[in-house]
Amino acid sequence: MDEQKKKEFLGLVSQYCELPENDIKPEMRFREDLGFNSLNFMAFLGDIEDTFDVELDEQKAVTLTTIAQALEYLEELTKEEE
Amino acid sequence: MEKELYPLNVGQMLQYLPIKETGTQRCCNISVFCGLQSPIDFGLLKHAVQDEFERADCLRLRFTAPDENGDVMQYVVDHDDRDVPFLDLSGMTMPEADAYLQSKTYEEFNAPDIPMAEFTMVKMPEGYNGLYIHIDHRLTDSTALIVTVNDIMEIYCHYRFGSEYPAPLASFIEVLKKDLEKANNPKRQSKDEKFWRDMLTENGEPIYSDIQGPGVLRASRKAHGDRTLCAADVEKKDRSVGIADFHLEPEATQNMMDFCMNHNISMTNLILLAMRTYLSKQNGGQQDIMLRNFVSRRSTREEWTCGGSRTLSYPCRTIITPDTEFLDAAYKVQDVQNRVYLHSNYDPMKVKAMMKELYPTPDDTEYISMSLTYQPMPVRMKNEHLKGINVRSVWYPNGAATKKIYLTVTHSANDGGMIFDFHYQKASLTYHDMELLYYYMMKIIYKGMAEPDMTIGEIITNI
Repeated sequence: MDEQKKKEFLGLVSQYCELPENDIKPEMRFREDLGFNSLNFMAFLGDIEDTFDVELDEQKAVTLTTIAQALEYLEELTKEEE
Repeated sequence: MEKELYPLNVGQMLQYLPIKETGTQRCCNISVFCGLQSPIDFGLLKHAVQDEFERADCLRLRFTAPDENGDVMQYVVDHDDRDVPFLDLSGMTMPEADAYLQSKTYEEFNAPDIPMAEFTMVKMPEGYNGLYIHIDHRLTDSTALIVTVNDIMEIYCHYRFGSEYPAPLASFIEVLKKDLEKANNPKRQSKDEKFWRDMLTENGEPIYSDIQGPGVLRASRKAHGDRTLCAADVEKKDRSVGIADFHLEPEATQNMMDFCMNHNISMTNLILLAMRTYLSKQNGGQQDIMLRNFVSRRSTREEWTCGGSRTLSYPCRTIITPDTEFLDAAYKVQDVQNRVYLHSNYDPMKVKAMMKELYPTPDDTEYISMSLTYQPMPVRMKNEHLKGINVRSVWYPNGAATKKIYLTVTHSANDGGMIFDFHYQKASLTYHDMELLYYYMMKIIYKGMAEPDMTIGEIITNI
């Protein structure tokens, strides 16, 4: 994934948690490490769809645990769109 | 300079709708006392409240006069330099003082272009000192009000003890602009619309359920001369409200929190499961149950501190067969709620209109008898200078129950327990009905937590 998109993604994550985007690491887990609950995680998924103009598979999206997994899934989706 | 006008966001519209329908602003009032059992320097508290009016633009919102359709616009004034009055109720008993503040709750903000929030410093009986806040619901919801109270106390601690001044709050207007942009995103709108249409059609018409049993729906069927009617009449004439509060002990609360944590279930969904299981029990094992869940849409850091009303409510419909194990049933509720959350940008009034279009029931009938708000954030003084001091927070009802049963679950500020606060329509329900409802909800939860593989049917039979 290009750096610009990755930066945009981490910026989005940062709006939902207490950490600045530079401190968000790939191995961090949304719930345990970044404090997401089900409501804001679902709102976050909606923001991903709007920001990157992609269509998430809801069943798959709710199983994403870490930042790395989410980035990988987003890369997969943006490639499909291209 | 000309003031900049903005429309209401969806959450504010939901609060405004009853004003439009009833012509009285009272049904949109929130009133709360929050205080500490400790001496307070009221001069500094006043200073802190005045700072808060500068920091939080939502407190400076005004509304225009209604237009020809009854709609209003909002704007923010630059400053609000009003005094913060002081009230000494310490000579009264606590019930007398509460009754006095309760009576102030009915005062209306009934004119355009006026301040919609009043803060009063109060000296209460039993050594409690604090603030009585009387405010229009469009300026705040319960989460935002807790943020406001906590922020004022942080500012107070800065002036009183020299602790750090709190970080700035987000601007309500800036967040509102983003909300309006999202609401006007056509792609998002069509996705959300499709979701709700599918959700409302995939299992056909919902059916009403009531803690008073199937007789309620039967009575509506008889009144409308329609034996297939699935919705029941709502109470329109007598909306006087009864209140029943029950305190769940800290240990029992902790058990529930541990269960939620260990099984990755949210507290909201566990409580929704208990509510729907009791409705199922009372309605001959009915499997198709619809509740209403209120959600405060505060996900990003800005949304947490911008104030305003962001509380939306959506139907939560689940069809659970009696052979479903308790844990699986909880996951079923959670799955529905997760999907609802993903589409909770959508205007709940449009969901209501869609339901009416799909299932044209008579006016003033409903599928839902019970609503839930779970409020995970307690009024808690996190500043170390205030730790260990008893906190008293009292929410005074505005006197109008627009829902048959509205349960608000909060965490106690003092002991780590939970408070189950039932507001019910006295026209058809009694305090004893709420006692039974609470008793069975707890039995369902405790049976299910002890034996998560027990089926819903077995739990209903066993409790």
